[in-house]
Amino acid sequence: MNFVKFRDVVKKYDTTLTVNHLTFDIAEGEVFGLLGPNGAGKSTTIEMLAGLLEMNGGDITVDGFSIRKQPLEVKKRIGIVPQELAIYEGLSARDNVTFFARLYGLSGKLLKERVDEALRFVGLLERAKDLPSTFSGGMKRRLNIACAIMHRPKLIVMDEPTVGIDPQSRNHILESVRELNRLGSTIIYTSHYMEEIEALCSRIGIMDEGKLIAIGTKEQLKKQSGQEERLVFEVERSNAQALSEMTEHLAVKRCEEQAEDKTIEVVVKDSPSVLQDLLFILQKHGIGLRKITRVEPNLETLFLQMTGRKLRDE
Amino acid sequence: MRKILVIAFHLIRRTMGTKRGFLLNILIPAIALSLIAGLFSNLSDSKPIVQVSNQDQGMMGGYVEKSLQQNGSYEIVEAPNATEQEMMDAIQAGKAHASVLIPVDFTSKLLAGETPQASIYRMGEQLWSASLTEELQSEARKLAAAAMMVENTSGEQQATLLASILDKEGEGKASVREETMRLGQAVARPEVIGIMIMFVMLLVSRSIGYVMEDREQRTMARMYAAPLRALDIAFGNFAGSMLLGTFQLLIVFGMSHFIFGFMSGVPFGPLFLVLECFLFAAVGMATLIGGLVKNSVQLGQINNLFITPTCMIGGCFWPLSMMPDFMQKLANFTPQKWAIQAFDRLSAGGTVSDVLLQLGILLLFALVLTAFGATVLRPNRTN
Amino acid sequence: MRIWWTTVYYEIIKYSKMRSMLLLLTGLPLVLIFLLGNAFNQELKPAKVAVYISDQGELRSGIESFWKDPSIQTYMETLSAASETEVKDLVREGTADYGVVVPADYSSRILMGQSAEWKAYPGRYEERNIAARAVIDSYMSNTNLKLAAMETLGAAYSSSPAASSSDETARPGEAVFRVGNVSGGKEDVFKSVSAVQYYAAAYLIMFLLYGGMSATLSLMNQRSRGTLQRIYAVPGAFRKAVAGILTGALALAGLQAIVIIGFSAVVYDVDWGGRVGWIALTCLLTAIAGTGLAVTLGSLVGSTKSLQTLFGIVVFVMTFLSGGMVPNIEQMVGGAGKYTLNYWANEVLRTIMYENDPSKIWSGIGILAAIAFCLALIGAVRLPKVVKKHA
Repeated sequence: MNFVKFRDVVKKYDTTLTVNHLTFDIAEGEVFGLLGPNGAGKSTTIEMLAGLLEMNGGDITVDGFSIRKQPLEVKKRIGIVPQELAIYEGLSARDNVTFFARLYGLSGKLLKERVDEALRFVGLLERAKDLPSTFSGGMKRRLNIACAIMHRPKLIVMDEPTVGIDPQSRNHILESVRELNRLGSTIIYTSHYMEEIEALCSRIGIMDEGKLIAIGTKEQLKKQSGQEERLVFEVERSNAQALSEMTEHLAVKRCEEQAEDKTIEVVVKDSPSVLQDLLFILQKHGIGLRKITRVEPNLETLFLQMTGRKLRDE
Repeated sequence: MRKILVIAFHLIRRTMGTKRGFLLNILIPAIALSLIAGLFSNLSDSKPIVQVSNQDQGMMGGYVEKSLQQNGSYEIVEAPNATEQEMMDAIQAGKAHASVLIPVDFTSKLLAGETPQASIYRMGEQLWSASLTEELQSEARKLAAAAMMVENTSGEQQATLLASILDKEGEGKASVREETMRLGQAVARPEVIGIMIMFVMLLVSRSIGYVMEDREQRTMARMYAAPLRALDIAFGNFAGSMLLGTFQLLIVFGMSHFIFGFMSGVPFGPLFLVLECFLFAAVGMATLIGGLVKNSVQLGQINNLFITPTCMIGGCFWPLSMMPDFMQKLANFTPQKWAIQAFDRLSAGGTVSDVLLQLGILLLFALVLTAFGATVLRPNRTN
Repeated sequence: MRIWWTTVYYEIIKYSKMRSMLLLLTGLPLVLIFLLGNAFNQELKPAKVAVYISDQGELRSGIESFWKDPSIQTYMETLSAASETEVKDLVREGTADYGVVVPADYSSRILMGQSAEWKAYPGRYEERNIAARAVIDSYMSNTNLKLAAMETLGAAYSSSPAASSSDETARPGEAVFRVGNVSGGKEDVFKSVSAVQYYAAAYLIMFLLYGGMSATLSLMNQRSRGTLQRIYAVPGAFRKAVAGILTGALALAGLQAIVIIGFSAVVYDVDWGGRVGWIALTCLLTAIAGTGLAVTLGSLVGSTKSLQTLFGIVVFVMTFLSGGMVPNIEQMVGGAGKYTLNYWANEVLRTIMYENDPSKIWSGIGILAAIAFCLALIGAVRLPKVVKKHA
């Protein structure tokens, strides 16, 4: 059953379409990853889903409720972990969670239970009385999560929840995402770290320039990349003749030489004999070979392939 | 509704819940106001001291002195043999506010139809000392006129006649009787109420500063992610600022009213109603300023530029009527002026129906300012 | 030298970006000078007297012309009212400062030789009541004199020249009372200068002191952001860079002084006395003293926020005690004003405004320089606490 439905969602700033006719579904119980470079429109999409931004066209439904028509019903079902640390530095961790819990209508004994639960879940119960200003970056990030889950939302939306923290806290957060999913929440997770998305998500959507350019499971996406693989030859020297012979091979799609690294990168279709053929060409021209690396297709390459750009500027 | 209150109390807690907030917003205002109330209640208008040195060998100098005494506005100190220098020194030392020297030949010169040379020393020209001077000049003219009436007589006869005329005059067939009215205490002595108003404005702007911080740090967006309408959040913030101000006023004004006896003869309820209406306007003003600046740090700085000057123009620190006319006209555009005026009417024995105009103007301020500024209070949905 | 100069340059660039702070440091003093200077300017404001003459008798015209007499207009502004109730209302509202009602039977009673009285309603301000009483008193005593003369002299009076001359202006000419104005005493509220000059000096000094905090704020900010440590890592640069930051703040104070003095001189017409060099020296000494004080206080507190609060309170209290808010406060605070920096700096600026004798200015500058030197010295001793993380 599709729990979240995006239907032709449009967001305009001036004349540019930040979100360009977005249509896709997310099933109940999924961990859905939204991947894309900075400025792809991920955060805008999420803010529209949470009712923080008005859309210029289309609609989003959550659990059957339209964000346009029944925003409060939608909001009740969502817990959002914003990219910024939206917490009160001057209030204790417990007060922070309690305040937001009250806004979700929790009160009395239930309120206390749920606040404890959320704090315990992120491992901050012992520090509940302390001010966030005394916390490390990772602890603040965890508190940021606690403030979004105390009402046990059916859908948890996490917008870059691991920006700028140490690996240990990152692992803790990734683990808690899995745990939340196990406990029954559907999760939307955005990041521009593809490793996180690959590790966490059962389904992935890739966004660029406001459009969803690919969607599916990891395996489906990789298949979409057309069973290409990259072979990298480290050679002692190279030779133009050899290069052009390699390029002419039927199974080779692209062939590039990186002179300074003394490598030749070859993108090939999956073909059993191609490696042999390429080795033969090198041998024929007397080019000594130091090392061959075979690069598996991943989301990064998929993105590169589809847009001609890299996910991150490094 | 309950969620609106949650937001309101949250704002109160952040503003007042800390030791620092309590100190700045409750304790210091309370102490400052009780000090001021104490200081100014003892400060009644004392009569200006006028030193008179009557060296006249004739009778007329005595009549001048007597007329000053009868006026009743001055405290007359006799210093029969003081020299000019001593009189001036007395003023410099603050022992007298003005000195009048009547020379030896005062009467004789007047009788001879000449102009005697008397002196008055004063500290610059102030309204009262200027009119005292005028009164003395007029008194001297009157004596000269009296001297003319008896110019056909001489010697003993002249003196008797003059004395009988001047004594008759002194009986004062035509006179003036002053009636006392119950006058307001706020306009002429606005310090206590004025500074309270300033504290309320400071507190309210601080709370709006917190609301702006909410926007900057995206906690407001997070609030809005909860099942709330944008209006709920705006109302919550508005109610929070109002409650905060009300709370401060109740404590601080209550203390100065009930404990230090500030306007103790006036019922608390109507006074408080005026303050509440002012509070509305103050919240409106703070939201408007909040809407005009970029962030909460700027808000703090601009507030300094705004609150103190408008309080000055609005007559919070000194009576409006001592300012030039253009500033008095400007005062009409500050809500402070109307609040103080309402206080004045109430302290003169007026009832709420006498201050409806003032309350209406305050609420109008509130309405207009909030209408322009309310965007600050609510999450924006369009970034 | 180049490091020093570079730091100064970048400090100034940083200040130029803090628009609202600059506005606060120059705009607020100018607003305060304007408001206070105008509110307390000592021009005579006539008392407003509401007058209702219900008397229709023979004396009415005399009373009317008395209230319209130009010689009293300097002190009295007459508002004619249509009834006794209106007189009361005007006084109660504060529209009038004093109310006078001449009863209907006034003329007839006086002419019949009976006693008669006006009714008066004093207002809120004693000074204006006194003025109104003085004016009314002079009318009453003239009337009474005539009545007395008629009674005493009878027919002889009616034919005398004194009776025919219309009013008390029987012997015009020189005034009997010569006026001597005393200055410089306790009641000379604004210390021999005008109100706007007084407040211009007071608020220039107050905001120069505030500006003196900027160096310490900059140092503390750079300490917490780590850029100061980065400078520390550059060989031989640290002292020069800190000196540059301090100089940058002094440059800011210079800018402040130029804007405040220039604007107030041109727009408000404040007479600063024209001795630019001495004014500049006073401003410099004040800025140095303020910087030293801020460094000292900065070494005692942990954060820029607490420095702002503490320093703000100190400057506010000093300004208050030195009479910068309520003039003539010295007696009330028992001479505590003399122990403030503001007192001496204000004194010097005021002396520059009205005094021609340079030696009097020098003595004030000497004291100010001594204060600035002491504060700068203490500041220099405490400076390491401010600039180093673990000192």
